[in-house]
Amino acid sequence: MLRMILGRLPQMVIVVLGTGFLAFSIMFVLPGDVVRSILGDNYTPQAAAQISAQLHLNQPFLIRYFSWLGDFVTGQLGTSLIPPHQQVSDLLGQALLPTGEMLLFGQIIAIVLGVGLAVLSVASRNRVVDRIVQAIALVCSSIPGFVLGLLLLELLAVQFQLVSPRGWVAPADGGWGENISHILFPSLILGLFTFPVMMRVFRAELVSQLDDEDYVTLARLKGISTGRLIFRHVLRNSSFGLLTVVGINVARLVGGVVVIEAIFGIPGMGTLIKNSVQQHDTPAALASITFVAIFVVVANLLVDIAYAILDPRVRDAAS
Amino acid sequence: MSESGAAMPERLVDVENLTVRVSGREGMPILDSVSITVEAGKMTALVGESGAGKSMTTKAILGILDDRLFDVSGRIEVCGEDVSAMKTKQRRQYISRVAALVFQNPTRALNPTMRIGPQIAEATRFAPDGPHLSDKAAHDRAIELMKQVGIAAPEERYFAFPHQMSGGMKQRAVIAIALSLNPKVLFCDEPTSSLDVTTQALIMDLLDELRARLGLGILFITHDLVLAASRADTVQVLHSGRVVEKMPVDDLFQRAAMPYTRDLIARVPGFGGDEPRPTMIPLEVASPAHACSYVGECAFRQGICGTQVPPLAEIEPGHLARCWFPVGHPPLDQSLATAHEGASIGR
Amino acid sequence: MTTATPTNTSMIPTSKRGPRLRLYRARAYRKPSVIVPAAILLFILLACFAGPTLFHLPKPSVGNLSDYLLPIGSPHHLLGTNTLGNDMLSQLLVGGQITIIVSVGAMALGLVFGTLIGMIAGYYERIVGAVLMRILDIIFAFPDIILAVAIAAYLGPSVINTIWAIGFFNIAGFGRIARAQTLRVVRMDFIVAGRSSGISGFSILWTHIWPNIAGRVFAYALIALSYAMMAEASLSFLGLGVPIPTPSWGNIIGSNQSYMSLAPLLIVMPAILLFATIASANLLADGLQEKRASTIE
Repeated sequence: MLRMILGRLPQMVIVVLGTGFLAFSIMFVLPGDVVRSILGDNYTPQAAAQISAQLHLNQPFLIRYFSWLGDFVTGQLGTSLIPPHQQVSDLLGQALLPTGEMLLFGQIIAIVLGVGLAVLSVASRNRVVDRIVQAIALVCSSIPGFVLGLLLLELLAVQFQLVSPRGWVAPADGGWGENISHILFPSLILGLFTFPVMMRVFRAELVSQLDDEDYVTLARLKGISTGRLIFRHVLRNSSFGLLTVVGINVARLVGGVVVIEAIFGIPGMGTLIKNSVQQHDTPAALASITFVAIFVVVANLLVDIAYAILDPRVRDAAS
Repeated sequence: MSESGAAMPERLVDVENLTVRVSGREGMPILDSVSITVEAGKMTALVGESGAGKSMTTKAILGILDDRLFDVSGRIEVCGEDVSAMKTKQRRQYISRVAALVFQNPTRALNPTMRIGPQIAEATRFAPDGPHLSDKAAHDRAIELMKQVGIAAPEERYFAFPHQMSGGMKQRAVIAIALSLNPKVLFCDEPTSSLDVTTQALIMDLLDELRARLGLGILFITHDLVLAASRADTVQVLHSGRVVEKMPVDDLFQRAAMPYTRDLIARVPGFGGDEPRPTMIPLEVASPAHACSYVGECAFRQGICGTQVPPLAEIEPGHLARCWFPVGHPPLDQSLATAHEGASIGR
Repeated sequence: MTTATPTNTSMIPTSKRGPRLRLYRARAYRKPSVIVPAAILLFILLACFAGPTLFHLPKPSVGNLSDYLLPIGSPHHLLGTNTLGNDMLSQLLVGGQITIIVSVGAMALGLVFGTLIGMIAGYYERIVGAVLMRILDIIFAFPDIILAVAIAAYLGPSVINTIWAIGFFNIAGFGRIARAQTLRVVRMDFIVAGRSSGISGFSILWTHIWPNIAGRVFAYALIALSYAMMAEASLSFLGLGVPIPTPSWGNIIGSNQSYMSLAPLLIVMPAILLFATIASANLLADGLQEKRASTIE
């Protein structure tokens, strides 16, 4: 297991570095005078020159890249260029919690819905149930997340006042209960938006295991119950496709998060990235983008580790 | 039907007119009035090419066909009880108690993510009709079964995963699972065809030994005529879903009467050559349900073969053939034409 | 099947497998799960591209403020008007044109470049493959919205720029599919034989590998199309995609977001169109894949 993780490390580092480089290049070619936007009304040529020197703006591209990289690796994320010039590490710290909560709850909701509905539709052996489940998945996978969010928000929060309206309550301000009650609804949207792919993959895998695999027949011939057959035998062997989807989806989720944060007015990573890129806030943008890349890479590593835990063949091959 | 004499051995499997169709599809059934018997302590071999319906037969008997896809009819008696009348759940529980299946490919028959021991112990712990052993007792029983089927170092192997064992060992494990609820009859679906020749002989020896020691009845499915001839007591030949010949094993290479069986034998290395076969132009039959299944390639065909299914008729004591013109025997009386039920029109 | 009476005509010399097989294939497309979604897609396509000229609709953004928020069924405005007095039917149909152009364009970009990169990555497994795969990984790990934000900020939001932004991220998806499929095919004996007899790599890729992976790639293309459509809508909704006054289904929803309670239809109508199109693409993908499976059988 350890060897597998170590073997993956170089790839992971390359991907994170590459993403940082890509982000850096994008920020580099962005037009607009950073110095002017920092100084605002206090613009003087002397001050501008001083700031340019501070930010290494007059250095060539690669030197600037490596100096940024050096700072990043040593944990110096710098300060935001936009007033009130907060520490980027503080900005990240504030943005991570809402996004982390949303991703966690959203992913849990998606997996529970995906696995649950797939098992329901397959185990019931009932065509009507199966059709209904498929239809739900089709609807959810064919409505863009923001439309789903807008419609459900209007319906549940404004018309029926069933859920807390938009906005974000930090646990320090309103306590964890309030915090979670506010994040749960956007997480649900995220979950609804992601579960159909998982459900379809899992359902297909379940069906193919149940129909084609001899070990299922053997288990049936042993006389054990359908419940035990599914939970003890088939579920685990069907989970590998689901894991792959979870891994692939992580990157897609981040895109979804940006949109859902915009609808619900949640100050998370998506908002931070979007605003910092739009406002040419290079330190904040680079740090947050690289952070997302690290998150994606680590999530994929976790998926591979889960794979090895669930499949003894992979585990043996890795060690 | 055939056995004459006072002490008739216990008939463990008695299947009559087993017919399987794809749901909602007319025309040729997949299995057409198949009748099979397996007796205690005996091995019946079911021989035929791939696609003849050998595996389908076991699946239909054991009730593991998907009932949404197939329609099954006929009388299926296993260990004295007619299972075709039972409800799915009841049937499965009954079958799990009296019969077991050994698969062709042991790698696919074992759950790849579950250790061997718990797979062997599972039925003894969790099967509704099983003994519901405790964790410890089931472990001991599994170890005992592993010893019985010749798995060396069972205490260690108990915790092995299937991929950590060889093909022969895996097949032994599958047999151990099959034996875990003390069945009376074993269905072996090409149990050795995925194994190499040495392992094949060892597994066959194991099956022979179990049959002798436990008095098991075995239905042995194979495409290997030589294997069938060397191990079985009775041989049944299946072609296109029909039993075309049924005989004591000693008749197989000497006295086979159905041209299909003879052609199969002629293709076995070392048995061909002495009998030159005319090359037949294959025919397509307009209504296969009303023709002998082998009429397309048969060297002895005549007009009636394309229009009437021959009955499975006893051509000498204990030897049945489904052929209008059995080799070495007088032609069948053609008034028997209506005796066959599977070919009934308009189903 | 013919039900011939059992007479002397019952033996007919050898089979005619060829034509029957071809007939069967053509018939495989003729089933509801393929025809219905295909028909819906075709209808939406025709309506969006031919509709505005055919019905002499007003231009989508020349409305008169005095005509604002006319209800459905108003004279000259079949689906009413929006808050600026623009004809909704025209907005929806022209917006559909834009949305379809952008998503098809982005999908095509991903299809061409992604498949090419994926095939090469799969064929040259060693260094080239590893490098290309890491590049695809980087694109995959990169939040797709960033490039769109950057492009919108740098080049200004526009139809073409939206195509580039979405297309770029489709490359990774197609790349992965194409690579996985190529890896599957490359191990087959006829490719190994071709390789060892010295046929050039690109010739093998084009004549042997592409035909064997095309089916899967095109099946993914329909799914990528629905992703691209969602991405276009999301970007335009955020104001990073197609800029107002050019309508697209996404920015119609986005620009009417604040009138949700006042005039929900302004959002519901484009949402329904978006849903119908994406759902049909998804269903068509399913239907075609079903067909593939039954052909293999």
